This record gives sequence, structure tokens and C-alpha cells, in this order.
Amino acid sequence: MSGICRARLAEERKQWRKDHPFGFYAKPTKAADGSMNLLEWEVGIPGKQGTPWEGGVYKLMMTFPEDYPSKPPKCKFTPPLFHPNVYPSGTVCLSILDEEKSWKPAITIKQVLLGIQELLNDPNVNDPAQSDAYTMFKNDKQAYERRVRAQARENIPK
Amino acid sequence: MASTPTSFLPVLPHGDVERAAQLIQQAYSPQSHLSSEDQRHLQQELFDIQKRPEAWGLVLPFLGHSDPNVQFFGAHTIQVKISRDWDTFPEESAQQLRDFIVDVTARYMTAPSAKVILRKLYVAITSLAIHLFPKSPSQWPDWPQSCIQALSSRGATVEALLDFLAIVAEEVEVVALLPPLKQRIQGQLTESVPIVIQAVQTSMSRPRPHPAPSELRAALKCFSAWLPFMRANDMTPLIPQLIGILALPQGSNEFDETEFTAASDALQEVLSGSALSDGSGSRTLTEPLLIWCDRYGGAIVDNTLREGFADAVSHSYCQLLTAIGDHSTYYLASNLSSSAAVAPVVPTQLPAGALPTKGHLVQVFLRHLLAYTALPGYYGVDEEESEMTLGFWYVFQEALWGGDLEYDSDSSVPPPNRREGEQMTVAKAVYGELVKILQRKVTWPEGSVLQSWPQDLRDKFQSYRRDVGDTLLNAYYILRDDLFAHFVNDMLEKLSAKQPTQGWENIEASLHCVMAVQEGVPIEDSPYLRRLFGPEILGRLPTTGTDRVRRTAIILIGTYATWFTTQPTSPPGTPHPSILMSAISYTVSALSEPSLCLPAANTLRDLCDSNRAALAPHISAFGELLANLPAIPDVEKSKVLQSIASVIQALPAEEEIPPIEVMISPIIAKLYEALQSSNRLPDEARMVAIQQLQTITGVARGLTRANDALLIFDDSPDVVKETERMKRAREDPRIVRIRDAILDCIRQCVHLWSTDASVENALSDLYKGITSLPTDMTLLSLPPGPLLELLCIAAQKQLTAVWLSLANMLVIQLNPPSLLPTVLKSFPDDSSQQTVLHVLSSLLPTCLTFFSRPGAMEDNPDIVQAFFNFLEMVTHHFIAVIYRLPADLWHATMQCAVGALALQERYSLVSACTFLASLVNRTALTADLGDAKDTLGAAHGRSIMRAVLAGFAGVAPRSAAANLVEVLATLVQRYPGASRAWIEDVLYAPDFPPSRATDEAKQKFVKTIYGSRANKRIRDAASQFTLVARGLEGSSFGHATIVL
Repeated sequence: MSGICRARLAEERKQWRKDHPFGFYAKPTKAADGSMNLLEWEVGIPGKQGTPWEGGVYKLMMTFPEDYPSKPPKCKFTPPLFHPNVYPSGTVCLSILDEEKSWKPAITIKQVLLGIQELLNDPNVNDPAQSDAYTMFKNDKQAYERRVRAQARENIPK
Repeated sequence: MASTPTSFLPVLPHGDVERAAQLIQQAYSPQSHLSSEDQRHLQQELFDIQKRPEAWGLVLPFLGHSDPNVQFFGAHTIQVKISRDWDTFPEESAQQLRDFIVDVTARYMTAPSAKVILRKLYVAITSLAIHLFPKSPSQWPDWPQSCIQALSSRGATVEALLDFLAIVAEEVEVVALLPPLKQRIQGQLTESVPIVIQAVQTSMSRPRPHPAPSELRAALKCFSAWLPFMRANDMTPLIPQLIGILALPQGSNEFDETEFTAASDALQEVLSGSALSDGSGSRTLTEPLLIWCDRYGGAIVDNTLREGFADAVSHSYCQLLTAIGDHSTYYLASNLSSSAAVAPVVPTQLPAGALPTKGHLVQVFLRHLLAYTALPGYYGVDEEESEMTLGFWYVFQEALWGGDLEYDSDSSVPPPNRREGEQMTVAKAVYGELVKILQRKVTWPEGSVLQSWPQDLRDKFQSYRRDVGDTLLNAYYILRDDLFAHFVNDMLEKLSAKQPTQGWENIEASLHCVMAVQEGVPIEDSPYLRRLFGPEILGRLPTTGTDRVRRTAIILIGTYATWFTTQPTSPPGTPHPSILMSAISYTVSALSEPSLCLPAANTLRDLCDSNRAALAPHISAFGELLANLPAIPDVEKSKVLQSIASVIQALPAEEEIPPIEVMISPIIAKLYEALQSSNRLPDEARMVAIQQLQTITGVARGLTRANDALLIFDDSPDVVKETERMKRAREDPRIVRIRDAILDCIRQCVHLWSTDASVENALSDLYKGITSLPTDMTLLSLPPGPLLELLCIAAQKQLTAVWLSLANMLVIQLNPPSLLPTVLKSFPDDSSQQTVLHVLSSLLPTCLTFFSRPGAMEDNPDIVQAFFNFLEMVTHHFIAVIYRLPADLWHATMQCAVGALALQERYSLVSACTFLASLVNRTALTADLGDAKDTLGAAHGRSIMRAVLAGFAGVAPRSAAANLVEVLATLVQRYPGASRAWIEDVLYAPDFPPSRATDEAKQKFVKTIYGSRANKRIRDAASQFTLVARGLEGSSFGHATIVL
């Protein structure tokens, strides 16, 4: 891991501990012996109140490349999420996570997670990442919302 | 108002000024009860006024107005005009403006005036300096010093000057400027540090208690604001003084709240946001602070415990402790048990021989921090401090492990192994204590108390419990089995002493803690977990009622589902059921409780999925479960069936048949019933049908082997034998009947309801769950052919990306990787080829008709993408079939693909490119296609090339250039001769899209490509051509955004 990447992630973690939005969590993963892997974080994103996503906290893995923050982290819901902009593998398709689109090294982990929370109830119709959710969103909003509510129920925190 | 010349400011008619002032008074007056709409309207109007160049004319009359709100708006206008509309200000008047603002500020500073107005003026001065200072020659070279001189000579107080300096630093810190410019301005501040230090020091040195507490506060705030511009050497001399302010005032036994919190805030800033914040300064910062904690901190902690809550001093002390913890993690970890005496470089008022050891100080620090973690009462209700400390225990464990990131990166010496010896003994004691504290802190209050908590407090406490869980995981890495020993023994003790009237809260808290550490626990036998899940603990938990402890126990079992695989199995009928079976029983008993049904069904699914082999001998017990399943929601019922199916999967293939029959027949019957009643009760019937489809999907998933995609390449005799056995079992007429019935149901659903979004979704899930590659074949797996046929019908009724994605998946299954590797590459058999031909003959016209509607491709990027992905998959697996298609159908398809290269939707364009490149490559590389390659080139080569080049020239979005290059490179490589002719023909044709590319640029493009035909050269040439054609050559934007 480069010095820049390491220092930035350490700082991100410090800032997150100091202040993070309510209901979210984010922490680097650990190996079996308890040593930390700064390049992979486990995070939880709560669905916004007043949307069909509310009640659920959606687990996501953030994988940081060696050349972070020049390159964006990869964000992947585990298990994969029913959402028009989430690939069947769980990977999130979002312009701020795309180095060819809006990624900037100054974007913080907090901003990424808030951006993904925003995306949950406000999908981008230009980025069809999975056909199931995209089709349902396009053709029958009511049925889509029912499906999203059912998913929120499966993701109630322990 | 002003004594400096103000002729450079425009003069507005009195009436205009008055009208604007009235607007402000309307907007800001507390008496005006405006609707939010009116308020917004007024604000917008004021904003518009401020935006006009004449707004400068408002400044003078507004500052002289009697209403402070209007005065404030005057100050605000100066600041806004300078920072936002500077370009419209006449440059020649800048010096006059500078003198004017300093003059006005001095007047306000010496008159009794609102701080908000002063603040705006300070910001305005800083904004102006940021414009004037960097000019060459500088128009305000020594601005901080000259301002201080001017303002103080006019009688500004020390406090006001300190406030001014603080804002200067804050504004420069956050201003958005290009790095070199920002560095110059910051450098100017660094040069001004001595006057700031002097001012701060003067204020700090006054006798205690400080005669002007607000001045001291201003001094310390100013100091904090200037920290980013100070070197370590600048601030070190002030640290002893700061720590001195923390001490008890002479002759008093109470801390002065104002002084204490101000000094504590400043020290926290030194620890976290200064040149020393990287953990350095252990002898100038860490040790003096630890000595202070040792001497005074205990009294604060004792007082807090006596009072039962943290007052302002105590709260601030807790913040200081966590800041020390963050800053000095490495020091604390390394010196946990050190017997060396501290050696601070600053005077400590202690005689040399009386200096404590580092170990002592660290342990005192940890005790104090633990006391805050352990504050009495409930987080969020009685205290807010315990949560602040959690992060420290997290980083401290890492520092103990030697992996601390901030400090060891520059050191070539490997960190000492701190996981052994005395250090570890102390660490274990500390974390052991921590675990007991956290166990208490996560305990919910009794029901009667909890009832009085509003929902937001419950949510907050719930979130706190999660965060505590993370801290516990760190404790687990230190304590390992000791952590389990504690919880298990504690629960045994509490269960033995428990009176029937007592609640389960403390047991529930322990279960929650054990659950929180699961991700760190290795999958191996553990005597503690055995006792936990055995009769002594789980066996004594309630199996009726809605107590939270049941829910937690069930989720705990689910979390540890894989751990049960470490346990010995017991055959059915043994007097003492295995702990796995006990856990299953405990879980199943909760299914009938509505509030527990969801977690119980999930846990059951996880347990059964992870313990298939161990549970298979108990299949009859699951039969009973099915027969006696209470009325539970359909979603959960489907999970129970999936659970049972996963146990069935572990049986030998032929033995699976009877239980599957028992399980699935009623579902099919219900589904038929729904289909038959679709005329009478269409909505109800549809809902019932969806549920049955979902249940069949669950069963199909359960029957699928849990893992091992790698088995595809496993040709071991066992695998081959097992596969053969499955094949034979699949031929059993009972299971054939079931599969036929399922297929028939799908057919009917497609005919009746495939355009309904929920049915489509359910069918999509079923398609994915009930089909597989031959190696993962189950008794229920359906063949891809008939499913493809149904899918074509559905697509005809309503084309969606769902059907095309499923078609994509099924095409792969029609040409699966060979089970028995052969030397010769396997080809898809004739019947598969025939199926694909049929599918294409149906799907292609459906799709092409759909896309031919104006705007259809632009509006449906999902369908376009799925369509080309599907075609790409067909070329990959069935290239020969493509060339058996009717010529006109194929021609129309190619036209559609070429047309898609002009789409602006990135996903559509990319998928079309991938398909075309793959088509050209496969056609060229596959033997036995006769003259397909030449035909393809002759019929479509030029039009593909034209679409690619037009894309470069501006038709396609630049972000897709890399994908277009892929197509270009493929054409050049596969058609080296013809492609050159196509390019030249296209580039110079009169219908080539107009672009900035000259004939010379075009020549250069062709020459570069054919100079070497290497991919990199082609990429470079295309990249250059794209820039030239779009007129971006030579622009930094163009080059900075090259995406090839």
C-alpha cells in the first residue's frame, strides 16, 4: 500500500470515528488474528426514513485499490441488492465511484456512503445495471416498491 | 460614517436605499410573521439586489443605519461583493476599498456592536487580502501585521484583536484556491505566527483566575485556529502554560469551568490538528498530559461517579482523554507495563526522584477512560460520554498488535511483539474489565422503564449496541476463549440465581455480546460454545412468549450456523439430541410466534444450509415439521421449505424423490388452482400464483448444492458417479411428472400474466433458481430449451431486459463446459443449435420491431444493452447458427448494431461495440464457417467502420472511445487490407460528419494505424484523431480527460 493511500485511509477512519451520520457504520475488516486490513471496509447504509428502504441497513464492502485516492473504491453490496443501479454481483454503479465520470480524490468515505444512500431511493435511469430491478422500476413502480419493502424487511439490523 | 474617502463607492438615491432597508427589516424583524414562501421570496429579492453592481452603494448608508439588522446586511454586502463579485469591482479603487474597510472595522471594534457584524467585517478583510496580497507587486504585503497595527492604534481591545486573528486563520484555511496561490497566502500567515503567539501568551500569562475570562477564551480559540500554520517549535513553549490552566486554581478545590474547557479544547486541537498530531511530542505533550491526568484527573472522575453524571468539566476531561488516546495510541500500547520513569522535557513541579513510571501513567489513563466507558446509567438517557470512548479500544487493540498505521510507516525496525509477556497480561486485564463493562452497558432496561423511552432513544440505543459490538470484537482478539468463559460462566450463574419474576435482560445482553464477536471466531470446536448452545443455557431459555431474549438467541444461532458443523452428529432417536438438533428445535418453536417468525425462518434456513449432511438422517423430523407447520406468512413458509430442501439435497439422489414429492405436490396443486381461478378472481389468483412460484424457487435453491463451482473441472470418480446417479434419478417417472407439471405451470403463467411486473420478477427468479449447468443439476432442474421457447412468447407480449438477460443465461447452459474434458473442443450438439436458431428467429424480429419505433433505443438503454449482451453470448457459443439465419433478418440485425454505435447512452453503445468486436473475431477465428468472414466484411465492414470513425469525430460520447477503438482494432487486425480501403473511403466521403479534422490529420491517422497495426498505436492514433476532430487538441481539458 502506498504511503498516500495508507495515510488517507487512516485519516478517513479517524474522521469517521469523530463524526458520522446516524445509523451508518464503517470499519476496516480484520484478519483472523485481529490485524487490520485497511484496504477493505465493511459498512452499513441505512435506508432513508419515509422511503420504502427505511428499516433496512444494507451491508456493503468497500475495496480500496492500491492507488486510492487517485482511483475510487469499489463498492459491493453483500448480498447483492435488488436495485436498478446495482449489478447482479452487488457492485454499485454510481458516477462518483467511476473514475471516468465524477470520482475525485477529495471525495470522502462519508460522502460516498451518503451518495449511495441517496441512490437507494433515487435510481439513475441511465445506468441499467441489473435487468430485474430496472425493468420493474420502469414498468410498475408500485410493484417495485412492494419488492423494495420486502427487501428492507430482510435487512432489519440484528 | 467613514473618515477615509469613499468617493469610489456609487451613491444611490435615498428612496432606493430606504426601500432596500425596509425589505431587510421585513425579512429579519421578529415581529413580521411571514410565511416560508414569503420569506423565501424576500430572501431572493435581497439576493438579487446584492448581485447588482450598484449594491456597493448600499454599503455606506446601511452601515450608518440605526437598525443592527440593516448594518449587518451592509457588512454582509461588502463580504459578498468581495468574495463573489470581485471581477466587477474597479481595480484602481482597490486600495481605497482596503483603507475604507479597515477604517470601518476599527470604528465598529471600538463601539459597542454586535459580534456578527464584526465577524462579517473580519471575513471581508480576509477576502480582500486574499485578492490583493498575491498581486505582483503585492498590494497588501504585510496584511495581518498592518491590520493589527491599524486596529490596535485605533483602540481595539485585545479580545477583539484575538477574535479578528482567529477569523483570519479560519478563512485562509478553508479558502478554495489553486495550490500554489494558497501556499503563498498560508506562508504569509506562517510568517505572522510570532505576533499571534505573543498576543496569546500575553493573555494566558495573566493572573488566575483570569480577570477577563472571555479574553482568555478568545486567546485560546485564536491559538487553535492558528495551529495549522504553526511549526512544532512554535507551539511547544505554550503547552506547559495550557496544561497549567487545566490545573486547579490556587487555593481552590474546584475547577474553573470556563478556563478548563477552553484550555482542554485547545489541547485537544493540538493533539488532533497540529504539527504534533501525528503522535509525536511524547515528552513535550503526551507525558506532561499523563502526569496531569495522574495528579488531577482522578478527582474529576471521582466527582463524576459521586454526582452520577458528567458535568461540563468532566465531559471536557473525557474529550481530552479520547484525544490523548487517539494521538498517543502507540505510546500507550508500548508503555503499558513499562517500568521506566517518564522524562518530560517541561517542568512538572515534581522532584526528579518522584517521577512516576510510564506504566503507571498509562494504567491511570486507561483506568480513567474505562471509568467513562462505564458511566452509570443508559447511553443516550443518562449519559453521552461512554460512546466517545469506544473508538479508543478499537485502535488500542491494533496498536497492541503492532500494526499501528500512523507511526510505523517510516520505521525500518519491525515493531516488538507485544502479544506476549507482561504487556499482554496487563492488556488482558484491561480488556477483561472492558468486556464486563460493555456487557452492562448494552443491557436493555426492564420493560417498565423501556416503555417510557421514545422511539428515537430506542433507535439510538440500538445503534450504540451495534457500535459496542465492534469494540467487543477487538476485545475478542485479545481475550479469545477468556471472553467466552466470562459470558458462559456469567450466564450460568445468572440462570441459576434467576427468579421467575426477574426479566431476561442481562442474559440477553450476554447473548448479544457473543453474537457481536462471531466474525472473529474460528470454525472449530469450543467447549464454551458447546455449553452455550447446550441444555445448560439454550435449553433454559424461554420457548414461549415474545421476550427479546428469544429473538436474540435465534439470531445468535443463525450467526453461528457454520460453527455447528464442528459438532459430532447423532442418529435420530438418541436420548440426548445433538446440540444442532436442539438449536433447530429452539428455532422451530419460534416460527409460530408472529414477531419471531422472520428471524426464526432465516436462522432455520442458515442452519439447514450449513449442516446439510448432519441433518439428512433426520429428514423424517423435517417431514413432521412440514406436516405441522403453523400458519405463517408465505415468505417465511417459502424459507422453511427451502431449509428442508437443502437437507433433502444431502440424501442420495434417488432417496430425495419421495420427500420432494411430498413437499412440492401441494404447491403445484395450489398453483394450478390459482391458474384455474384466474378468470373469476384475477388479482387474488395472481398473488397466490406469485407466492407459489417463489416457493418453488426456494425449494429449487435449497436443492442446489451449496458450493463448488469448481466441480465443473472435477472429473474424480466420485463426482462422475454422483452425476450419473443424479441423471438416473431424474428419469424416475415420479420426478419427471413433477418437472413436467412445473413447466406446464410456467407456461400457463406466461400466457396469463407475463406482462405483470411481479409475475415477471417471480418467473425471473424461478428461471435462475431452477436451471443450472449439468454439474449442478438437481432433480427439479428444467432444461433450457423449453424455457427459452416460453421466454420468446413472453418477449413477444412485452419485450423487457429481463427476458433477454434470461435468454443470455440459458444460451450458456445450452453449450455447457464439458463435464469430461476431451482433447477436442466440444461443439454444441445439433438440437441445441436448432433451439438457438428457433430462439433467434423469434427474438430478433421482436427486438428489431421494438427498436424501430422512433426513440425506442434511446429510451430503453436496459433493453438495448441486454439485447447486445445476448447477441454477444450467441456469437460466443453458437457462431455457426448466426450464419444460418435468413439473410434479411441478419442484415437488419447488423444495421441495428451499427446504428447503436451512434447512441449517446453509454451502456447501449458499449454493449453494441462488444458484440461487433466479438462477432468479427469469432467469425474470423472459427473454422468451418466457409466464406462467412469475407461475406461479413463485404456486407458490413465499411458501415461498421464508418460508424466507428463517425463516433470518434463527435457522434459518440467521448467516454465510449475506448470501446470504439476495440472495434477499430479488431477490424484492422482481421481485415488488414480491406479495412484500410474502408477507412480512406469513409474519411474522405462527402457524407462524413463535419469535424475539425483536416485532410492532413486524416492522413496522419491512417498512416499511424497501418505503420505497425499494434493495438497501442491504434489506440494512440484514435485518441489523437478524436481530440483533433473535436477541436480539443492542445487544450488541457482534452488531454486531461483522455479515457483511452
